[in-house]
Amino acid sequence: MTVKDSEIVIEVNDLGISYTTKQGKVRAAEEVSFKIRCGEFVGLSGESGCGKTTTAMAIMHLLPKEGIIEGGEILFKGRNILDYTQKEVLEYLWRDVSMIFQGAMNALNPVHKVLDQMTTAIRIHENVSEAEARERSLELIESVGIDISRADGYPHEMSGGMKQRLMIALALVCHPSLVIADEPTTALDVMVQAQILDLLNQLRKRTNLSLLLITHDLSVIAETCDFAIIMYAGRIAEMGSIEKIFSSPEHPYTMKLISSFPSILTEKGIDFIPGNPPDLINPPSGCRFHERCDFVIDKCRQEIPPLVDEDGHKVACWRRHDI
Amino acid sequence: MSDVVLETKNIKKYFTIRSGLFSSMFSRRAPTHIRAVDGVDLRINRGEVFAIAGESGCGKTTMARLIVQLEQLTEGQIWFDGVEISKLKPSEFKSYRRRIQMIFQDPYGALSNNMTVSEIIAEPLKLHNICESIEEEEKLVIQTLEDVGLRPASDFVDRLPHELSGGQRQRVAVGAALVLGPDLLLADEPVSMLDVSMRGQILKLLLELRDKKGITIVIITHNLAVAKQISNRIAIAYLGEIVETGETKLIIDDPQHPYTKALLSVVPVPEIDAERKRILLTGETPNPINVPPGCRFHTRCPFAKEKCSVEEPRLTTLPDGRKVACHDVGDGH
Repeated sequence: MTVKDSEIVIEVNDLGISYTTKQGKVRAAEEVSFKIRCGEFVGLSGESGCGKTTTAMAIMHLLPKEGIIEGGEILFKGRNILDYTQKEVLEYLWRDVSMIFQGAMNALNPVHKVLDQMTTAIRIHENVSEAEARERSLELIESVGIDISRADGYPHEMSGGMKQRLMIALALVCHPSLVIADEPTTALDVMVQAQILDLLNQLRKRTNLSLLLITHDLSVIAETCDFAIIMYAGRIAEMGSIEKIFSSPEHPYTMKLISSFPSILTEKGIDFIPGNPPDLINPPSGCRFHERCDFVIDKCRQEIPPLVDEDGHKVACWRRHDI
Repeated sequence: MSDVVLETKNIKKYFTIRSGLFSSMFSRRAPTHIRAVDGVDLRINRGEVFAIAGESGCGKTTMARLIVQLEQLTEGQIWFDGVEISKLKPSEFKSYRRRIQMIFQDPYGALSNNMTVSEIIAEPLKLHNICESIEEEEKLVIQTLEDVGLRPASDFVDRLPHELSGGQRQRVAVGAALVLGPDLLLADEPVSMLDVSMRGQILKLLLELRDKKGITIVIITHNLAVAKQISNRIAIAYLGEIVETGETKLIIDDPQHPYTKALLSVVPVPEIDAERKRILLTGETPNPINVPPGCRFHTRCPFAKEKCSVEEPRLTTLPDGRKVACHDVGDGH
């Protein structure tokens, strides 16, 4: 399937990021490459410390000062955002790409009314009148399913679910092409989670929004996304359509991750991946997963497997076709 | 009835909200209460894994805290091994406290950062004056570490919590609860802060402890998939009450109470080809300060009738043995 370049919203090529720490250099992301197309929902998953939030922060130009881009590029509609000037970055954030943070409901400013916060955000980015900004905010608040009468209140007057909806509304305020959502529903109850995921799906139908959904919850990805990326210890282990990843995963890590994931629909026994994810200051040689892999051979210990594309299903495993 | 290890009878916990000094001096408003737990009967059999599940604010954690007496009962009785522990004095309860242990949700916050693993495990032994000598204490600490899968134990004794992974920390927390040889272990969301790959390890450990040591486990969780994996029986809580309880498999595969049905219908699943009919409830759980009259769920229930807003349904036993509190299920009285 060939896709016109104009349909690609963001393209990450060969991205490498490290953090400088007292103990040494942490290689948080290596050779990360993927594309997100217009209107596509992409899920990014893996265990804590696999580099998923680091990758998102790089796209947002929000890496902490210890974070160093080792190489690669991040193209937004064809332009490398890593070359942006300070001024261009400010314009790019929220207008082109916005982010819903983990535990974002606590990110609302408690001393300002919600509506005022939104109106201010619009007026910082766009040259519109107070009244117009207000009207647009109200529209958005309504579109995320919150009664307009509640909008003129303070964050503490709202429940966690309402605040999270408002954060989504805030992220959409300047009509970005891509929204990055980092664990947007992790702190919420399942019923509220279902409402939020429903909301994202409705927004997609209405606005052709693209979403990068970062979560450790595979079931949320299975239910919301078209495409999934599985990362392990800073590298992409496997990526492909939801059907491929969930019905016929080919990387042993993905297989284990899915079989460890409990489901209310099946009689799954308890499964897990023995051991811990590796130390990224001194990552293991060869395939980073080899110490925990059931199918390890000598080659896995020595050489890093490349991410090989077969029909859009990319897997980084030497034993892809033997297991 | 020797197979019932723990029984709660109509337990209630109301938290009083104090209004500010000013309003309490000048207004004669009656104090308001949060009805966190409002009349719960549980019977936990020896050697089973019992899950208490529900959304946040349903009172599940408060139930556990009442059982270990971290909270005082407002009303009701708690029986443990044939003794009414809820009427014991604190000094009398201490010997039971040893037999009922609790592990908490956050493996990062539950352990003191400046104590080594062996000090953390040994602390309960010291508090209860269990060991007569240092050697005995050391032996027990090593044994416990091995029991919770931190092997070889000698590698872990001198480590500090921050040097451990989340899964290892949770193992230490389980160890500290286990070292006193409890009959009953209450685990409050023991895996919700852990990665999927670690979750299985801790769940498996809990099941092993049940099988090898006969410890009864009550697991409190919002995650119904985890409850299905580990528990024999389950109670679904809503706004301080149990709405449905019985064998886990029966309830998860074929829920009867409208709330349980709705809850299960929206639990995301990793099976992409699953065809499910979702029941998306609007709004959120009402505030436990203003509990709706009649059936607590009627304000959000898609099947609510007039009766539901007036009369509170009681838990009724169905032919398959489960109990459901709904006017629409069974005879509802």
